[in-house]
Amino acid sequence: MKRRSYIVCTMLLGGLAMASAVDDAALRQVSSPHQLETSAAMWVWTDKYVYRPGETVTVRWTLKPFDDPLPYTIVAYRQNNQTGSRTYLPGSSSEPQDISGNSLESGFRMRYLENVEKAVLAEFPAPEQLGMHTVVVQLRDFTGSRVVKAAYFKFGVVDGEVTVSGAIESDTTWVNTKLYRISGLVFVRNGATLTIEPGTFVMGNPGSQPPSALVITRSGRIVANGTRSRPIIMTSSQPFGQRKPGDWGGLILLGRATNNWPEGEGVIEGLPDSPDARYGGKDDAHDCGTLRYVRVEFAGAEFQPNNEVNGITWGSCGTKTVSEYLQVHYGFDDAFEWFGGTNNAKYLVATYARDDYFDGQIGWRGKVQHAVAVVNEDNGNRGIEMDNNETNHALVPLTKPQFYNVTLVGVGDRFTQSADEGTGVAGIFLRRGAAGVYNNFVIYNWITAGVDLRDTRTLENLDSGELAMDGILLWSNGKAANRPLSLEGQATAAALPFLKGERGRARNILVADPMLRRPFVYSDPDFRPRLGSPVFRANWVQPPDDGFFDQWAVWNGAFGDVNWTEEWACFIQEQDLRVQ
Amino acid sequence: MSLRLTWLVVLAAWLAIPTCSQQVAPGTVAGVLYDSRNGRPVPGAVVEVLGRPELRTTSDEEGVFRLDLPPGVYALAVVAQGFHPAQLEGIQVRSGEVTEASKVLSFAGEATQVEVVERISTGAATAETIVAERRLLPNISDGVSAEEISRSVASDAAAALTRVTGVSLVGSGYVYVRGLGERYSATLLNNALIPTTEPERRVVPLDLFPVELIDRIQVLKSYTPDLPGEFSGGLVRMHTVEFPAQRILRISTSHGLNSRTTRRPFLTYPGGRHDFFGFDDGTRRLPVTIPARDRLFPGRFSEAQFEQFGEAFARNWEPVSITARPQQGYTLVAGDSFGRLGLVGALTFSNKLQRSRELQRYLVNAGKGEVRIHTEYPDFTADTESARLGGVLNAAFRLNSTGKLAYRGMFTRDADKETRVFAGYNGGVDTWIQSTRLRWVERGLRSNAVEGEHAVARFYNSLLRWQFTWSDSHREEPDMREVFRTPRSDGKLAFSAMPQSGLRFFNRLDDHIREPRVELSTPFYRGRVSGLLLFGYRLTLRDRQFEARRFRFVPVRTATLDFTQTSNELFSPANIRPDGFVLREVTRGTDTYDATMRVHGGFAMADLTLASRWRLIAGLRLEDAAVDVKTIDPLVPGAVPAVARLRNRDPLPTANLAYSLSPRQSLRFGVSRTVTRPDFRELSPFDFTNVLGGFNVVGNPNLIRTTVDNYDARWEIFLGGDQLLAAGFFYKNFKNPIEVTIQATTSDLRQTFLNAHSARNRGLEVEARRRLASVHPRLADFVLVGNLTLSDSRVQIPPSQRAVLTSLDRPLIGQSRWLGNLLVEWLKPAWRSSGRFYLNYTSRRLSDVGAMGLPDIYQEGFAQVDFVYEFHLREDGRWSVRLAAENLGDTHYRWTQAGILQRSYRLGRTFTVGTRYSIF
Repeated sequence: MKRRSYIVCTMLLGGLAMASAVDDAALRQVSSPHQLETSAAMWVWTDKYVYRPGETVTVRWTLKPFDDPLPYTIVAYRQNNQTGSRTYLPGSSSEPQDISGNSLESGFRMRYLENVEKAVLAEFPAPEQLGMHTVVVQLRDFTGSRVVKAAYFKFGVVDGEVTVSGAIESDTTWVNTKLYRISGLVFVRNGATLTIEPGTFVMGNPGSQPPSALVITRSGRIVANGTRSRPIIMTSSQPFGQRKPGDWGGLILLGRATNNWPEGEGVIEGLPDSPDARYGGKDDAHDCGTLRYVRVEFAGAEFQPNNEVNGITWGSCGTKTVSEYLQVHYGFDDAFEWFGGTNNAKYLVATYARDDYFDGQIGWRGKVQHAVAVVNEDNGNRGIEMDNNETNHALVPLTKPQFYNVTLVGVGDRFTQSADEGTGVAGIFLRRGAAGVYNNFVIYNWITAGVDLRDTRTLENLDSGELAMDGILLWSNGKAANRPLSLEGQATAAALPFLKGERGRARNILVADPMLRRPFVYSDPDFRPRLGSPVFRANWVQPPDDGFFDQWAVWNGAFGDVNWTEEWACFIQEQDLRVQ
Repeated sequence: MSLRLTWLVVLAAWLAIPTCSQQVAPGTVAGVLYDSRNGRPVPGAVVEVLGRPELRTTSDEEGVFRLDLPPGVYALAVVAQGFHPAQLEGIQVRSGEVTEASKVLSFAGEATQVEVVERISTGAATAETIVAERRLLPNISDGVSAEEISRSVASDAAAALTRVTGVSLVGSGYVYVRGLGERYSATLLNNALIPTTEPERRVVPLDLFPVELIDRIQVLKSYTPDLPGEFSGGLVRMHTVEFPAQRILRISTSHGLNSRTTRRPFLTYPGGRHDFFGFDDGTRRLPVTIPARDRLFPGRFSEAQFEQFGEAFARNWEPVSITARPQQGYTLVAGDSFGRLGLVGALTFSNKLQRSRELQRYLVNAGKGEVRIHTEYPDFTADTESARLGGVLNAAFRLNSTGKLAYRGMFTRDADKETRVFAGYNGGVDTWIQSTRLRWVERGLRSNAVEGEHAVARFYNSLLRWQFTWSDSHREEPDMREVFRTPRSDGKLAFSAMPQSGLRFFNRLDDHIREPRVELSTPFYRGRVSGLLLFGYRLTLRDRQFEARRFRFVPVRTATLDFTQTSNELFSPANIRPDGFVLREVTRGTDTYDATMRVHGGFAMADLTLASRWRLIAGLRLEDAAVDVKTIDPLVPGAVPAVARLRNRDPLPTANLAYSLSPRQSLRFGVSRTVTRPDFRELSPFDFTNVLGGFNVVGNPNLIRTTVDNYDARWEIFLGGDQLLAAGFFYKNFKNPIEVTIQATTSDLRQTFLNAHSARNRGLEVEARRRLASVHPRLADFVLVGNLTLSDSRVQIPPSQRAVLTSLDRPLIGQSRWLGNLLVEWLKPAWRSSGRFYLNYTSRRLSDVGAMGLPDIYQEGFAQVDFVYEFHLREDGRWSVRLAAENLGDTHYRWTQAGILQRSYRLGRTFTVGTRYSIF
């Protein structure tokens, strides 16, 4: 992790350097001592995810300099994440080389950045060593030793495939030397724990009905404990470039925590009523398992008309459930959804979902910190959508999550075409009696508004203090509806008295450009604040030190200076890795 | 079983040759004569000794005859109008003894030419017959005759039945008898069970049957063991046109207009060439390039193939507006008899446009007792062109005096071409939406029956009846198309990628019933106790297949598309590409199911006349049922089917007792047990969304069948002619009734079924038919007919459902507290005119159960007023003109929930002019 906790003046120098680049010598002088950031975007990928040893791996990359005038040393290598050993590309050398084949001895060559579009970077036979490997491309500064920017891509080498269908009823481990294919609904139940090794690929088979999905029932657990270097990737089985949201179902965790159905239980959508399909109970500490460094991609197949599966669904999971470093990429429905329960989550990345990005209802009372949602121009409805209960807005316990440090980036001034929710596409959309605490947000570029509140019960929660906001940075929302860049323009009429402080508890509401680094370069975005960004000003609220929240996150939004999505998460748009 | 009885004229008879001339103490021959079709006694039949015309008698009201004869061996001839002449031979008469000589008479009307042609004022004659029939019938029933139907405004069987006491119509085709839904009814056509055209229903919708093909419809309200055991509300028994008493050839036409449709803008869409007649010419078929037995999913087919598949669908998404033409209908009926062969056929066709504009709202419980409108479609317009075609061919052949063969064939089909457009705020997605749906629904039923009757003299003068019916129904909904749009921030309407948007949906249901049936009736006579023994067996083999394919155009890179294009532009080949719209198959595994049902039903019953004042029908039916529902995805090789099974053997005892208080007054009592089995779909463990849209419904494989105990009592007084006054009481007790309930899922709710603990239904029925001549001479031309039903039901919801359902103690769904009919008939033979004024009233009834604190939805009470005037252009009645005004008050149909109007519409007044010309 490149923790760049540098001082502001250094950044300033770097910035000046970029602005006034003339020639090599001058650059070397000015950019000394440290070159800190680049405007360039870059992504790298292999032609598929999972290989057998010896199969040809084709690595391609795209580089967009975006007027970065500085020269860089470019180094690419493949890393075996099991052993840590590196093989430099394109020559497959074990000694460090730049991509032109210059070794350290002969000296890495600096080059100015040029546009590279889906070019082949290297081809090599897949290694014999099984498990997860990473292709890394680095832009290093003029010294050739400091990495300014890196792109990563994970692939797996396996010696076999396992197709899983039906039920898992005893403790089972999925290893990273196999590819797991899920066919139809797979239930983990009967006290079984499904353990998934770091670096394991799981693919949902297409075409089945009900669709392929992994369901952790109330009588089962999952331990998917990936790492930053070896995340667990649950994805589509389709060729790269042809993957689509809805290629398979998704990941569903069902627990025994409380919710607000009068019976205390519900049936998860699309499934027939059976103990396997029910969620909810009386144990708010219920442990559905651990998800850490897990990516769920191209999920969201239709279970029934009007009912698609979310990327990751938590149905009444309890506080012992661990959810950290999770990404849902290209889902057909919501990215993350909670139905009741009390489970918490940290470090969530929601990218390019067709529907909403963080959705909760039926009395969910969890905590979330460090979460980012980004909509691209082909997708997306709402950033956060919370309902108490659609069928009765006043049921208790109320849906009352606590969010801290969230960045929501919409597509704003474009008409998002697939926004099927028409005129109701807001960053935070609270309705049907939803409550909660929403603190330290960056809400940027949503179509109709930054904050939208609907329904009487929701507004009453403002008066009772069940619904509160503190530290909300709004910018550029409602642009498609020609709303002004003032508070009036950033919220709907119903939400305005609240944000203005006339009703309920809203503090530190600020309309200002968050100055994010590169939020709209979709395949390689960077949501960290630029120099001078207002997110570090005192418009945030200190998170409580309650054992879950990180009190050090003293800014608006999901990011300070550290990009915690680096390496394990993947932002590449499907069309950006489609060759032809 | 037609119940037409016309034993009015006594024919000639022949004399028996005496075997002995010596005078000794005479013996007696006595017996009862029964109608083969229904076991009712045949009064007025002439019984005489063969060769001795002076030794003759006539059977009495109870069908009983007695002849005192000198000892000897005799042969008797039995002659009754409408029945085959029968002979009873080798009857030993001993001095001072009574010899039994009972007989079941085979109904003959079909195949014999009738010499005597009589003309009574038809309406009166028919009503009189029905009244006469009712007097004799052991169980409780109500009926509508062909005459009554043809005089009303009804165009299909369902509408005709609304005139019957205690019957109400729900939807357009489902008959609720005494407030009990279609679950508690069954339909027999020519005495055989018929399959349904609806994938989620158990009985066939009765609007499928044009009245022109129907001779009469009867609703049996109490049970006898010879009937299938699966009904408790009412058994609807329809008979197709009967054999004519003379050669007939009749042509009728009808033309009409609707005040809210005709000559107004009407939405339709370009379809096939034969849409007018209700046949799709293949335009809506699944494109041939789409693999029929292979699910389209990525990986199985290439991107290029998907593009091809997508482009193969007809680019026909948009409605067009026309001016609605008047409705029209034509019917031809022809029949004759040729010696021992009788033939009758009918053919009918109609085409009708109807615009329906509704207000629809969906309410939500906003908490704290606040109920508010969640979704509102102020103008929910459905324009439907209905084409209906039907035909009947019946043939009967008299083998000899002891037997008869008949064939009954019927087909009916209709097609609805519907264009539906609605728009409004949808609270589910919290935005304004607009939907355009083009749909074609084709339904058809074919039924063929062969039947025979054979007198078996050697076996106690019994009569053997057999029937084999094979019926096939289908419903097809090819290429339903729907597109949703939402407004963009700039106000333009843009395609919305909602799950139902860009949909092409194909489905087909086939339902078959094969039903062999055999019955033996044996008469006996033991002085004060005489009667009929009936034994029978019916095997019902039913199977059903339902198949569906769903496809959806899903946008991939929406930024490369312009969603504000019209639908035909939007789904053009230029936009169907790997990064534009791609076709995705969203057929659900549960869209396809196979179901079979096998019911063996055997019965034994006795129909006893006790001491001339009592009549008892008692018996037992044993039903052995096996139901299997297999839900399987045929597009996935090796998929494991989900199977639901039900096995039951039920004894169903019955007793019906009739007591004549006086010759004009009678009392009837009935006790019986019946069953109701869950419908196929209700047993399937998977969920399905009603193909017509709406709630998501999930079956429950743990359902068990319901048993119903029925108690009936009725008092009747016959006031001469067709005048009648009757009152009845019924009480039904349901054990484990299957009721709809609501289940919490994730964000919304779904419907499912469960066995409630118990339910009861009770009520009173009053009926009168009175000539007004006795009230005032000036009213001599008027007849008043009325009926009124008051019913009250209660369902006990099991405690497990109390958390979700709002009312825990409620009436049965669809039950109105009050149902009433009033008919004023004006008959003026001198002016060759008749007029009828109808009033039908249905009080408010529960339409949907409410959940999560939302009150139940009720349909508010409504009345409908119709008027028909008929004028004979010729003295002989061969040419008549008929003017009908339907729905004169333009009834406002309204549904409310929590006092808020939830749904409402009016269908407009319809005026039709019809002519009928009889060539013979």
